[in-house]
Amino acid sequence: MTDIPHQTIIPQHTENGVSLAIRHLVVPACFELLFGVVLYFFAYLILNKLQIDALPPFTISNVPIIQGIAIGFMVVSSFHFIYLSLLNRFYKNKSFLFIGYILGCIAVPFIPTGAFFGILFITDLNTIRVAKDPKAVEILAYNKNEVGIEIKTNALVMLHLPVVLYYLYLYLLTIQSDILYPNFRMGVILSLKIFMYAYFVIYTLQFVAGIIFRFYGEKLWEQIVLIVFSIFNLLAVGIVIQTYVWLNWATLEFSGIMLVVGNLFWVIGIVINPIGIFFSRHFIKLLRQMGSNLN
Amino acid sequence: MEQLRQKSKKNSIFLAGIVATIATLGILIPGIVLWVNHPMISTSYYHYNLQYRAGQEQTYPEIVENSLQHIIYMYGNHSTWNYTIECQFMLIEYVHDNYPTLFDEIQAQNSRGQLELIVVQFSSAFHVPYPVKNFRESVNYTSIRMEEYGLRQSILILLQEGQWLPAFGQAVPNHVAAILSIEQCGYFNYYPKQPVLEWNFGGVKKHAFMIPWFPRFEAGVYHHQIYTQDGEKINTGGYGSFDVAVDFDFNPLKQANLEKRHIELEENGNLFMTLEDFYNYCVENEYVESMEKYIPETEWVAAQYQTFWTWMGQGSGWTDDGHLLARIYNAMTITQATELLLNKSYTHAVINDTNFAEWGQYRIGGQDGKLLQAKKLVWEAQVTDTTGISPRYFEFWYGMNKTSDALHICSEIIENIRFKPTFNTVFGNNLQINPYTLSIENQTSSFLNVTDLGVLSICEIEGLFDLAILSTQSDEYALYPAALEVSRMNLKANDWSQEYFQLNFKFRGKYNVEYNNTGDNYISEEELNSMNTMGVISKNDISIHFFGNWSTVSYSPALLENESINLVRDHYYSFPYESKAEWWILLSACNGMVYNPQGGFGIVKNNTVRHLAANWRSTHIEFAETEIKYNSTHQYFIVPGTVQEVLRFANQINSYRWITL
Repeated sequence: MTDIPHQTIIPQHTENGVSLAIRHLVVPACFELLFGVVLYFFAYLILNKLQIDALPPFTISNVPIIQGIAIGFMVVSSFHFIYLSLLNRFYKNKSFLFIGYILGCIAVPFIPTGAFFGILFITDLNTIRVAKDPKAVEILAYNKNEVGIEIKTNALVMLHLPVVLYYLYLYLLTIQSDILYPNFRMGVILSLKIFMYAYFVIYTLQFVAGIIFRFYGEKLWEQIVLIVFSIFNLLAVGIVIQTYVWLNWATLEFSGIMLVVGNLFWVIGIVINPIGIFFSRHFIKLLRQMGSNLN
Repeated sequence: MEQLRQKSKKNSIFLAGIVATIATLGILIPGIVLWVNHPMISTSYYHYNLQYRAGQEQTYPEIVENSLQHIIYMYGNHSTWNYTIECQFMLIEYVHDNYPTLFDEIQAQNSRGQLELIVVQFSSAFHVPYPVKNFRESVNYTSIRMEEYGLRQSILILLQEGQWLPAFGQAVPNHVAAILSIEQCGYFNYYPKQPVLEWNFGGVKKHAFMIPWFPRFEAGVYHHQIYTQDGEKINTGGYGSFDVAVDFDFNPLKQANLEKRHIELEENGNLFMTLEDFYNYCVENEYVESMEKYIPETEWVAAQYQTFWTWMGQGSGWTDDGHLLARIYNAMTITQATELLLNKSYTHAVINDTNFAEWGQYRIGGQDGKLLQAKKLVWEAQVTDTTGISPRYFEFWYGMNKTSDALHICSEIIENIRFKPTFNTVFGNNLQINPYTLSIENQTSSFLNVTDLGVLSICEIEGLFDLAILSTQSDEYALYPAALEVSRMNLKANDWSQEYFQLNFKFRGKYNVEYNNTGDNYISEEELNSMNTMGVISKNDISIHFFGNWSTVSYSPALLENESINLVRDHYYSFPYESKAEWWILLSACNGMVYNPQGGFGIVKNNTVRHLAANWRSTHIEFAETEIKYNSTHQYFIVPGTVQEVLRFANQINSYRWITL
């Protein structure tokens, strides 16, 4: 019926391991910076524009703490950027690499993006540390085992999305959303619930598919699943954002260039979902290799 | 070894994925567990205001038919959805008189505990600037009438525009707690943790009940507010609740959306409570802490409206706040004096039982006595919309007409009494009614007597009190400098006298007309536009500053005119964390007094001439008014002495002002 999985490792190509590490850590660094800036701006708004104390712990008295945390994020981010800018020069220095492990760990609490890319960065440092030539690390070809693992891993990581949607659904249901009618009318809130269920089912099915492929992979089905999820990973967040815009199309009253921009909000969903981009790219790579290396 | 390294590299994505999943779900899932483990409880209050457009009675049926009844019947169809309506008694009376079926439904829901009615006062009145009597009477009248209608009043107080009155306990024996929002506390740099606060003030122990605008975990539950806004906005008009269509036209989509949200909440296990249900739950389960900070009078969105500046100084719209509040204050003191005369006349048998019933302050056999009619007119004039957010021209005149009608009734009562054959025998020809001493004097030698001791300069006063007094107005009004007269005065009573310094300011407005406290000659908008002050286009922004050391201050909170409280400015925000905006602390000074303990003197504004809030900073007290439309007079007294002496003076001048016939 299917091939028995095997562990044959076939070198595929070499890649600059240092560049790979930089690419991986730059993602959480950007997110930390973005989060810090947004938090700082929010504290500024509370103090100077909204002047509200209605949303504890985001209160006037906590403004210094909020701004302190925001600055903390920005400082961490700047450490990451500085480190990355020096990595090309000092990747052979063990002490420097040790600092990198710490910085990788610091990224982990910024879930899920920081955690995912932080760990990738740490494993990248491991590779750099032990490789004969860190700028020419051997990247292995994918084998059948790996298709299942990656599909499964991707599903696991993305399971946070329906959970976040559940939070959003419950919160919007319990804030005074009628004040914002029709932008947060029940149709909009219920759409979140639908997405929540749909995404939960989709990622669960993906996880199951990953397990099945681990043992009983068939090339055609694997390719179909990889194609579907390389697209879905990319668009999962964008679909939710764009649906919100379309549901409110009448009230947003776009005109001129905004008519075009209004249909491109899904792009934001791609930008803020680097894990989706990562797996999408990976799946495409897998697909490319399936024809040549994959048994 | 190399083989191992390569394997490690290969599995890094899996490892990263596992760590990210554990970390992410490790944070998110406990949140859901927390959510699931806490009962979801909602409260809601629909604020209805029959005087939404004060002066346009044609809107009354629209408010009831297009909004209120849809809410009532929606909840009627779901008997487990408990909810709260907060409104003035005028609305209940209007529904009772005009919509019997709807009233029966209200009564049925109320009696089975589904509908909580927070109906505290007769009209949607503003009480921040006034002494206690007026409020207490409005509350008492409402309680009696609610009982008469077979309706159960909530034990909670929630007032128009969410007014927080720290001395509310003085006036409401039957109510146990006043509602206070988290934001109102935060504005004054106070962040309590529990939803119920024990508030000991003025010798009375009550509760403040905190409501959050946003959902939060408190009292062991996940508590959220379904609605805390104008009920009219939930199901009429177009988008959102920030604006209402002109005619309150019913919007079935908004109504259906509200019902759908309730259904969805119910499916999620939400428990619908009235505010009183939730308050009782909190008290029974001891989610109570002591209220540690004095929160001065404020409106519901303290930051947006700079506590109550919008109602007591900011002049957008057609009303000059200081003027109309003074006019209402004046009408209040006249009704008070009339009441004293009426009562004394009755006890001295000048008037008989029938006269007392017809002219008095009681409702007998469904008929309001004349004095009660006058008081109701004053309560109606007090509606927040006459001075609040951009009053329209008809709202300004609503306040003007109601006050003059009240004064006409008082004059009529007084004339009726004076016309009685035994009046002169008992009271004599000349008399002075003094509500402060509850006496009527007929010997001129016993009258309160104000003596002018002569003119002096502003510099002399500044030197005496170590003050710098500065008045400003818009540059455009340079042609019309503010007029200032300064006099040394003496007020002599039977058993005390007080020397003081009187400052009279006069400012020009955009229109060259000045309204007094009694006049009722209607001027149309067209006529008014022909009365422009020459050479000016804009309205006048004026202010009077009293610079000095005001790091602490004593004043009498609204409803507690006979006592004073000492406050420290640094206990409140000014420019927190170098914010651009300033946090204002306004003192309404219901008896006019703002006392300076450092200097041993008080500033007493004459509330019946101009009634503005005092903006308190540690370096000065400012009485300001923006967008003045009409010419205006302001009168301030600088009174040396102890706080008790100044308090006595302020109450005699303002809260219990005497009238001489």
